[in-house]
Amino acid sequence: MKLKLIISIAFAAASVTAPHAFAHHSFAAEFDADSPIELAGVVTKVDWTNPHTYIYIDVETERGDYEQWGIEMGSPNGLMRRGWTRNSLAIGDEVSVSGTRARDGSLKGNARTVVLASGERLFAGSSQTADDEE
Amino acid sequence: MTAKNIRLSILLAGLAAAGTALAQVGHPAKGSWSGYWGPGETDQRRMLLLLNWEDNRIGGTINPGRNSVAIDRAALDASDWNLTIEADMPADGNAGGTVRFVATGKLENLGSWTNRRYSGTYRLGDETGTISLSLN
Repeated sequence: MKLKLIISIAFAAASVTAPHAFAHHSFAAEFDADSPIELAGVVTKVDWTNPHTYIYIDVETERGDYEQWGIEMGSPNGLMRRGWTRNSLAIGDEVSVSGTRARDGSLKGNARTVVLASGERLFAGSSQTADDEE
Repeated sequence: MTAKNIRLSILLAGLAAAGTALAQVGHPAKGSWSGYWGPGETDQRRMLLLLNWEDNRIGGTINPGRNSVAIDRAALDASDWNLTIEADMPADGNAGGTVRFVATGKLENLGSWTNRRYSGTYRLGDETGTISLSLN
C-alpha cells in the first residue's frame, strides 16, 4: 500500500515537472556556432525564467524598420553568479549583445556577452560554454 | 494501482498545477507594448510603451530610456476595453515646448499571452493617425 502511494506521488510530481525539464536543451540543437551575431537594440521585455533567462530587444534594421530579437541567456542563478542583478536590465535600456544565431534563421540568439546601458560588460551564461565543457 | 491511489494522484497533480493556474497576470493593460504609430502607411514611427497599474491607476512611460515621455493620464473603459492614453510629447524642431498626444484604442485578444493588441487612432497636436501595438 505504501509503495503504491509513493508511486502515485512520484507520478503526480513527474507529470507536473516534465514540461520544465523539456525546456532545457543542448546548445548545438538550437544554435549554430558558425553564425555569430552582434546586435544593438532597446530592451522590450525581460523574462527571468528557468532554465534560461530571455531578453527581447528591438533592433533597427538598415531599412529603418525594426526586428524584435529574443535572446537566450543562462539561468537566473547562473547570471547572478556572473554579476547580474534584477536591476541590470530595464525596459527601454539600450544594450549590445554578442552571441550566436538560431539554426532555423529565426530572430533568436544565444548570448555570450551583453553590454549594458551603463557600459558594463557581463557574461550571459551561454549554454555554448556549458556544452563545450561537457 | 487502486482507484483510491488514482484519485490521490489526480488530486496531487491538481494541487501542484493549481499554483501555476492561479498565477495572476494583473491588469490587462499592464506590461511592455511595442509597435508603430504614424499618420500614414509610409510614415510610421516605432513606439515602446510601458504600462503599470499602481495605486488603482494606470501609469507608465512612452519610449522608456533616453527619450522617455511620462504618461500623465490613462483610462480604461472595461465595458468595451477602450484605452485612452495622454501625454505631453516634445515638439519637433528646436523650438522646444510640448505637443499633446492622445491615443484612443481598443485592447484585443485579452485572453492571449502572445497576441494581445492595442490598436486605434491618435492625435498629436494637429496630426492624426493610427497606432498599433502588441504586448511583448
